[in-house]
Amino acid sequence: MSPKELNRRDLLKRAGAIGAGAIAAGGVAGRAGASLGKAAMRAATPKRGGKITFALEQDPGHIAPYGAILTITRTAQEPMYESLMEWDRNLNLKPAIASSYVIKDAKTIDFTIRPGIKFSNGQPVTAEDVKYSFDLQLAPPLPGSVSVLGQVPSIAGVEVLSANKARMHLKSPDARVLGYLAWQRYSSIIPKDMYTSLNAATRGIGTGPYMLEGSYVPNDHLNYVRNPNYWKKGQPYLDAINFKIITDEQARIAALRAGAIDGATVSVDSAKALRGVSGLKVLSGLTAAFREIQFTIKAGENKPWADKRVRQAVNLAINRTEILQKVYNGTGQGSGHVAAGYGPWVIPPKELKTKWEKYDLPKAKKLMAAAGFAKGFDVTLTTFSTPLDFPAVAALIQNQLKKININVNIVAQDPATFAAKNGIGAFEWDLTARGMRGDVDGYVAEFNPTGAFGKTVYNTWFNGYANKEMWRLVGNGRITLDPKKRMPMYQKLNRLLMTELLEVPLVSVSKYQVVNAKLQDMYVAFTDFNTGLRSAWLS
Amino acid sequence: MSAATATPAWEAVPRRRWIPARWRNPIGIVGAAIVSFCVLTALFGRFIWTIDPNAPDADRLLGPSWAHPFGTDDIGRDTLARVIHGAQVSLQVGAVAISIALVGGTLIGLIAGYRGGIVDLLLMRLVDIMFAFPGIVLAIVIAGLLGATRRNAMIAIGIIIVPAFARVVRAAVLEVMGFPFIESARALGGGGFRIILRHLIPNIVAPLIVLTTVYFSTAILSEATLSFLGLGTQPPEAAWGNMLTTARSYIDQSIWMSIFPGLAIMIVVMGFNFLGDGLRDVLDPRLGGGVGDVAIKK
Amino acid sequence: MYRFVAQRFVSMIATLVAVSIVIFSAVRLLPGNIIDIMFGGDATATPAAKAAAAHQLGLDGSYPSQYWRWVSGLFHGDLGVSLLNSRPISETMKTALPITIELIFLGLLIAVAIGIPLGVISAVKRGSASDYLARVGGLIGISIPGFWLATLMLIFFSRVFHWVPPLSYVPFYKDPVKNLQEFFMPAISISVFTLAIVMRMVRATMLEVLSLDYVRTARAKGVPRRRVLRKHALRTALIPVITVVGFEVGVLIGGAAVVEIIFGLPGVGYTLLNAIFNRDYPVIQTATLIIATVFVVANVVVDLLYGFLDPRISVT
Repeated sequence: MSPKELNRRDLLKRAGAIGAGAIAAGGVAGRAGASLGKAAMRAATPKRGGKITFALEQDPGHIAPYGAILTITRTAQEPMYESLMEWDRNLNLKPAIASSYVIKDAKTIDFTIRPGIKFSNGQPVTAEDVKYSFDLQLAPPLPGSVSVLGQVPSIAGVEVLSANKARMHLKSPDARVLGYLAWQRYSSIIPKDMYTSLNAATRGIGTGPYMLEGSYVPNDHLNYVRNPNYWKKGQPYLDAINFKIITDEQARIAALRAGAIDGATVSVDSAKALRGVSGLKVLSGLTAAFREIQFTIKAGENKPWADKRVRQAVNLAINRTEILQKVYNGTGQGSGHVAAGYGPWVIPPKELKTKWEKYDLPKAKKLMAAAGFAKGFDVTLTTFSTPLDFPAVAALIQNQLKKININVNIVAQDPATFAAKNGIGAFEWDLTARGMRGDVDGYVAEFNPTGAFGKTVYNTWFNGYANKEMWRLVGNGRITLDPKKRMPMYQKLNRLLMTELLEVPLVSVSKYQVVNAKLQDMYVAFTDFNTGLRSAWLS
Repeated sequence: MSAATATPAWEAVPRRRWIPARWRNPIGIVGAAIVSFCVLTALFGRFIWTIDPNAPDADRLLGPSWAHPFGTDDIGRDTLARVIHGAQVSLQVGAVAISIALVGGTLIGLIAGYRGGIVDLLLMRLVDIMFAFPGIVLAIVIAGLLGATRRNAMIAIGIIIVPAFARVVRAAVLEVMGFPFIESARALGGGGFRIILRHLIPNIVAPLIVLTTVYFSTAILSEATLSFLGLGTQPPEAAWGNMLTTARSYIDQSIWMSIFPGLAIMIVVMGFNFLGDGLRDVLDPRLGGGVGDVAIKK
Repeated sequence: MYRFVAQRFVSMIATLVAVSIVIFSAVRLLPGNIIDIMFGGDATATPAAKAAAAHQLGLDGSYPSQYWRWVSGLFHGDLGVSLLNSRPISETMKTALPITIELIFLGLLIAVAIGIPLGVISAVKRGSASDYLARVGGLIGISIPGFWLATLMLIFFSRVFHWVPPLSYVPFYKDPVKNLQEFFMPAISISVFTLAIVMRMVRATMLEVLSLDYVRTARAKGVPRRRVLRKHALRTALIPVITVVGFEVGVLIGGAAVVEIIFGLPGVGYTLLNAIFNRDYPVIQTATLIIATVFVVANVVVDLLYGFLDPRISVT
């Protein structure tokens, strides 16, 4: 039995729930290793010491733990903030600040805090700190934004049972909770009253492997040093990690070449150019940000794509290989509605490629004719104007759909305008992307008109469409806690979604990071953070 | 032959003004040639070079070749076709923006000059405010807040050029109103707007032509800057500015992407500047030298 | 004299107040509300949640009350707080303003240091090939897009010399060498346009002055050319140049905003552009007002200098 599975069984034993099956496995469990790149095989024992400088490609704005809108905000604070649970490199659920948990009933989970765990300032972590942290998560103070609450599952609050036991109450049965915790993006645990004792926007105290030295200087840097009180014995290996904010890609590349920084995220073309450079190595991996086309199907509008055959024709007429080749320099792969690489919750890549995302122009034409649109129609496709690959993908789609007589008019908008219009359904077709989710439900919640997210989104995007089976699968999947019962529901749902195609998933792109060749155990994290840095070391 | 006679403006005695000087103004002629070429390219270029500027049919990031004289871009579209399309965009934006400025500026100048008094004061204060914002910054703010589209870029650029036209028109109106016979006609109660207008028009045509030409180059440069920043014509539609934005990410792979659109901007702007310079020498030496210059106080 | 200064000062304040009202209204009346944008992409946007966010950000209350809150804050040195990350704008401006000012200053310096001599040479050697070249060169100079020049310079230095400017901003007093390394390319990019204008202007006024009677008399009397130039011509010729410089500060500010983005220097222009994309009202308002203030002050200074230097010009 592999180490990963042992850990899970260990967890189950301690929770006393083996056989009861009542584990809310919101995280991505199972052997996700294969689809996520090479497993972490250490060639040598990690060496302690050394300092690295890593570039951040965007300014985080602030580093407060709650209510952060940008992914990079989490990335910037990741070395110091953790949550009750964590994911390992292959997105397996692991205990972190909580050494174990027990599901008392469908709406109650008890967490036991790891004995001896301390914050970086030496203060022990208690249930009071956990309660304080969750109170703030549910009502993020400035500079956080309340707009992120859509990502938070139905947590009612946390009750202090004893110094090291905290009880979480849920408003309703919710399978997403553990994944939400493991994601750590919104659920950091901080010392009680931290917001009143320091400026959380530029400083912080956490339990992570590193601690912040000084303050975050906006648009410039933030420096981390080793946390001597870290609970994982022997870690972290590095003495210090300095984050430098370098928004211009050319500047990052120049810095890498000059050895001024030890790692950065770069575009696929730049990564290829840097491949041969001595002293550097190129890392790549899938991330959850797959591109897709969204349709709106509004009641009373009767647009051509309200007919399923038209949507299927579009799916068949899109040449994903050409998109990957031209826009992403041949890297990446197809994706279903659940991001490619998201553990066992996806359609296997081979089946996806041969059955659901096959390029078949003749069949597409037949479907269009059968639906009565052999002559085609006009449609407006809105997308982001930056990042630049979106207009590029749009241009390719426009070119490809010409062949089935669909005349695509591309309108690119700045991200802020796009987000606003997308949210209220003010579009015909959108070319957009998805991101990381704590739980698989995050990818399908929009296909069901109940639930907080579905209520607003479904009714603005799909109020002219009804499919009871789809709704049932989504709704039940969300409240079924036993992963064994849950899995077949999502497998069925995935294939149903690829038939009904309310959204057409396009491609999953690989992310590239170029790092100092001496940096070991670093990997491209599926979550889009730089989680590898926490356990990396210099040889 | 050229330089001495091509600069009559600063001689104490205004020598050649009309036809003779014009023919001896090679800079103006070169400018006219460039502008004509640009206009023709914008209108007819796509019938001669028929590759679709939006079709990513070729290989990516190619350098110049017979099949693709300007190379191809990041997803395999032909750069020459895109530069031609960009000419259309630039000229269209320039023309619309200038028209807005012409109409708006003339209206404001007329009303301010004719009415005088409080109306004049307020309107000129408004013009001063617009002058208070460095042109491109104001255009950025307007285009950014209206929404980043080509149409809004036209409006924004038109707005920032209005003050220049307004001031010139107002000055001309004031000058005409100061003519002795106009004053007497008005005192007698007979002179009205129509008389002023009749005498205004010949006085104003020349400066307006020069202004239009000179500010056309400003409009084109502004359009390129706005689309470069992501505030004007949006990708994937080809505009010289946004082509340069994409090109920045591919400096290592293809410098050609950065060269041709920029060269196009420079040449067209140069053409209008040369033409404007030549026209100014010929039509209205009073206007001083240099784009955007404040009129010299004499 | 004092009356003139006072007049100018009052008119400056009036303009700035008007500017503040215009920009305040513009950001609120034009499309794209930051609350919509915050909630647009994802969430469970109940009206209550949106109202809470609006209150959290100080966007509730009538427009006049919001305006008053903003303006009265300005007088206390409180420039407001960014909607996106709650950082005080005064902090952001503390680093941003020196960057933009340094850029403008260097750009102006280069333009004047090279433009004036070139203009003089061109005027003195009127009719010659170098004059013609200068004239054409000037026209080309005002035609080059600053951002293109900046990109070309980056390409040139990185391809040919394998060198790129230092990564992050370092103030002049901390490390002058590094600072100049960072600033020389952007400064040159924005100076070219102004350089051309200055050159043309100097040439034009020099020609005018050189043809004046008293200058011709001095030459006829045998006064050495250089003395004529320096004592009489140059001084008079430079005066209109100062006016142009005042106007050119505006152009330089605009150019600075664009090159800040290309070179990643977080100056006022860079901050303003990001704020526009994020619909960050307070930052848009304050940054625009700051730019307007810089420009207006520069113009007033120029006006005063002009009135001071040229006794012929009456101060009306």
